[in-house]
Amino acid sequence: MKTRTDDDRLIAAAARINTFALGFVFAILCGAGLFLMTIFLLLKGGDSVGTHLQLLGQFFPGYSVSWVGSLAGLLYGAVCGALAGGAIGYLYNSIVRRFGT
Amino acid sequence: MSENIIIGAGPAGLTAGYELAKAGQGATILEADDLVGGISRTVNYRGYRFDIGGHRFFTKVDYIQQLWQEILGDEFLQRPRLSRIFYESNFFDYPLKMGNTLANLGAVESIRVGLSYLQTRLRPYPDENNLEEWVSNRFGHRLYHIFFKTYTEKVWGIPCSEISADWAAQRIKDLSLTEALRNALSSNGRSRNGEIITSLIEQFHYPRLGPGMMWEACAAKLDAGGSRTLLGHRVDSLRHKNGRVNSVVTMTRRGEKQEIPVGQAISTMALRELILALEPAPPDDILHAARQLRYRDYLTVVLIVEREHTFPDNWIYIHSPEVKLGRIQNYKNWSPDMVPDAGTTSLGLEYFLWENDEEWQWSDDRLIARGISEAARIGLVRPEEVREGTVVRMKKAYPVYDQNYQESLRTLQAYLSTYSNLQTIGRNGLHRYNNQDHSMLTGVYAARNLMGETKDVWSVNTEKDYHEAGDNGRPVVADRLHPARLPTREATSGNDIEALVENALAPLHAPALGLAVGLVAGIALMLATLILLAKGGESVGPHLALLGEYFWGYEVSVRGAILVFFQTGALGFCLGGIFATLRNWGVTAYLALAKYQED
Ligand SMILES: Cc1cc2nc3c(=O)[nH]c(=O)nc-3n(C[C@H](O)[C@H](O)[C@H](O)COP(=O)(O)OP(=O)(O)OC[C@H]3O[C@@H](n4cnc5c(N)ncnc54)[C@H](O)[C@@H]3O)c2cc1C
Repeated sequence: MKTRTDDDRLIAAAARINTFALGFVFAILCGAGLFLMTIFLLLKGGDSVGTHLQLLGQFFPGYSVSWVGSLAGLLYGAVCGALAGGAIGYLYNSIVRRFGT
Repeated sequence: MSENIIIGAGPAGLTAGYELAKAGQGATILEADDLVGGISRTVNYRGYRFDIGGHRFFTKVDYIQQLWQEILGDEFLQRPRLSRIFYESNFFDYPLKMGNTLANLGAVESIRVGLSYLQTRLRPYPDENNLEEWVSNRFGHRLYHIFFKTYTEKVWGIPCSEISADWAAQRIKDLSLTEALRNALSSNGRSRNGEIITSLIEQFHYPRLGPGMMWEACAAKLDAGGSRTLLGHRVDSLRHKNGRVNSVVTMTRRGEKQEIPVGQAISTMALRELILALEPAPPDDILHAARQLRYRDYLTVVLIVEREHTFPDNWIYIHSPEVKLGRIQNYKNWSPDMVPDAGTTSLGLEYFLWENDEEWQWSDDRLIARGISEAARIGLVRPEEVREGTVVRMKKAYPVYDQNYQESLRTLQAYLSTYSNLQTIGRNGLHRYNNQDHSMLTGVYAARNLMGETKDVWSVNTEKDYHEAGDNGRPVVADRLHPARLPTREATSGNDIEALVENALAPLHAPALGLAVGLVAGIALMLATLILLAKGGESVGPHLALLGEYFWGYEVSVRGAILVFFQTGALGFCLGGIFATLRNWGVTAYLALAKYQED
């Protein structure tokens, strides 16, 4: 059983984030998210497919609302997600290390 | 009359003599071979000079650098380094450079390397008991196969799965794949903390005529100062009584025995041989410990090639499994004066063996023929270009770090400390991967001990951040460190489980998470705005500008980018903070529930 001091220690501690894991999760979420969003629009079909999502091509060269584009989206989403997740984890840990208890 | 006796005229022995001479003390240096320098010798074959391997002069110890300069002066050159890895008919830059590595591996192999790296990051070997596990956990299994397995097994003759992990920690720099990639991108040879990583050193010192030049000059200075170096005098036994060595018995090549009285003895002969040479013989457990020590032997086949330029590297690591050859030296690239005729090249083909391997007994002709065929097979030379060749065998080139050696060393160290006038120093004398500078430092220490100081020769080359690494204390694992068992992942130990639980349940730091999310979100939107701005066009970012509905004053402009950075930052801060707080409440509730159930 945990003692009082253990509890105190637990309360005083600040959790660390596993940067790799967070980057990985974000990568999957963003990659799969963009992929599915693109596919969804394609399957829905219609006159002009995904005019707005298409605009991501401004930032991601090669991306479009098409089957090939969905793969590009998967890759771009994963890379950006990994970068964002990794950066959040890294920044968080650095701040905690510097200022946290 | 009793005198200072030094066994071995390698870097350690000669430096001990040199240091004694500086203090006005003479010494007799007994060398079994016909030339000085030990493993750091330079062999001269018809004007072509070559070393045993290639000897870079690199030290972090100022005093050693000073000694080198003092002994050789202007003949001590500064040389550029180039070395690459040869694998599957491709040359890989070493240190690895991203573009070059990926281009050589090809798209399919690169993806496989990446996937295997991810796989080992997600499911690493839980215990790092052997080299295979240690390296795979850091670089991925596939990269381990390409860049570590074949070469290591060539050099050590032991399957990587049987080489201990702490050995790996010594030989392989603390250079993970991410670190390697960071270096590949920045390519300034420094790790994140600004340390220079051992393998990335791009320049080194080298004597104009090879390392032997240093040791010949040192021996000449010693002789001029009144000490003497007796070549061809192998020490066969050390006679001792009451914890004192009284004399050594030497044997010349012609079989002449000579007994020389000893005042103080400094030995650089291999530790195993030293113990076995003691007369009377030490107790059985000591003899047993000595016999446990093993050494890896080495031979080099030198080919004289009728071509001005073969390859630009100082040396090439041969990872290709189809040849036994481990490394090729191009001595002319170490120093142009290593060859007598600039129109030719001398290549040193290095083979790592055990003395009792059959190949060790092969005739020189057979070894040379095999060398030519292997060099041709990997496309470095054409057989008809090879004018002639020679072979040099070097026993005990590497002390072996196997599972038993540390235990044996402890036993022998304790035993030798009972002798009042015998010190063992140097690479094989201490059974440690000493480079010249370390060996020299042990020589300096031993000499100073004779002048009344109390230096611990066993402490040399045990520091964590040796040598080419930086000074800031981070344990960079260079290839010359004394063993220090790796902290293996003891996932089952009580402390670790507590630490894991603690981290899983500890509260998230809300302001920190807020700040991190805010910064990342702010930078992302700011970048998005700036990218559109940079791209330009007639109407810039009409859709992104719609964010103006939510963010005060936002438009796709530099001002808008700054405004959105702060506003998204603030929003991200709030969201991150709220997320952390909610999560902490959840954990608190969970803990309260757990406590309630336990009560
Ligand atoms: C392939 C290879 C590459 C290397 N590269 C480098 C490098 O790049 N840079 C670097 O700094 N170092 C390098 N080294 C290490 C360097 O060679 C050694 O650190 C150095 O030579 C050790 O000096 P030492 O005096 O301790 O031992 P040794 O060089 O082994 O000298 C010992 C001497 O003692 C003599 N001896 C042994 N037994 C007896 C006996 N019974 N009686 C009389 N004499 C005896 C031997 O003949 C020898 O001359 C390399 C080593 C190898 C094998």
